[in-house]
Amino acid sequence: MVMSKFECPESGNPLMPSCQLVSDTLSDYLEEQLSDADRILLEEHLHACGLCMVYLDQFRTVYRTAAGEVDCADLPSDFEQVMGRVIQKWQSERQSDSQE
Amino acid sequence: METAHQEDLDLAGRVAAGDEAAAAELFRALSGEMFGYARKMIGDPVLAEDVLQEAMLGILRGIEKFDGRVSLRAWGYGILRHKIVDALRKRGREPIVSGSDPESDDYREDGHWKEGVTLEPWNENAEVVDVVRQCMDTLPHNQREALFLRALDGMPAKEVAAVLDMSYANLRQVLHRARQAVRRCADQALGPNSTEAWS
Repeated sequence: MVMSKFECPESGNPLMPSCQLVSDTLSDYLEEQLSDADRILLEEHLHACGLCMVYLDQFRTVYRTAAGEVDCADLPSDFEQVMGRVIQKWQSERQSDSQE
Repeated sequence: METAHQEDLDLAGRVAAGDEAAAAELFRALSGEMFGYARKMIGDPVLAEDVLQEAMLGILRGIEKFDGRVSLRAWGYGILRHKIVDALRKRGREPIVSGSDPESDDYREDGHWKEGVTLEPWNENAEVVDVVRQCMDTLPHNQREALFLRALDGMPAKEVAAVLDMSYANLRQVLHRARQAVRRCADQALGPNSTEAWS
């Protein structure tokens, strides 16, 4: 028998995950890393637990906000010159190394 | 040997042979995104420019060691993150590392919510997003770098784990703890008992 990570023998329903386990699993849920069986159990819990549903909505806001946080930045206007100097410095080092 | 990153190996091989055009091609592809990441992690655009230069030089100096096990992009980020840590240390900003569970006090021993715990729904608007962003900036360094590397367009989680030199399972835990900490921080700032935390 395949054991689900949501089996919670302490609770009245051995298949229903605890609120803490739901919280601990939300990243995997949002990144679609849960098995179908675990996802169904988690969603059953969420539909029955208003506090966890609010928690999920808040967590989803955090997840979405983080996903948009790092963009390509406009490079400084002298980037091409800076890059050229870096490459020339490296070439000088290579030549020095090859002469040693 | 054919790897998943054969094109990257070919480019790295040209750079390692001293091909300056190949080096420029590499940096033009990576630098905008790397600069955005460095600026996010450091908060100071001038210092971020210096760090980017250091990283570019580090990439050129180490290019012969690139073996294609991860993408050239991820390998470059591995160098960049070390340069960021060096720069922060030079400025006396020792990166703080944390892995604690920010939510554990809210649950009973059986894993259910303690009595008296309340959560207010958020209306996802510009103010909420702004608070969430500010909370991200309060995270320990290791959680911020995991969160922001994972935010890079198209960077798979397994490559992020490689950049951070940690297992995939460990990355998932760090990411989750980071998101939990941000949620908790924002909930405190936005909740009915908040004391204008961000004003």
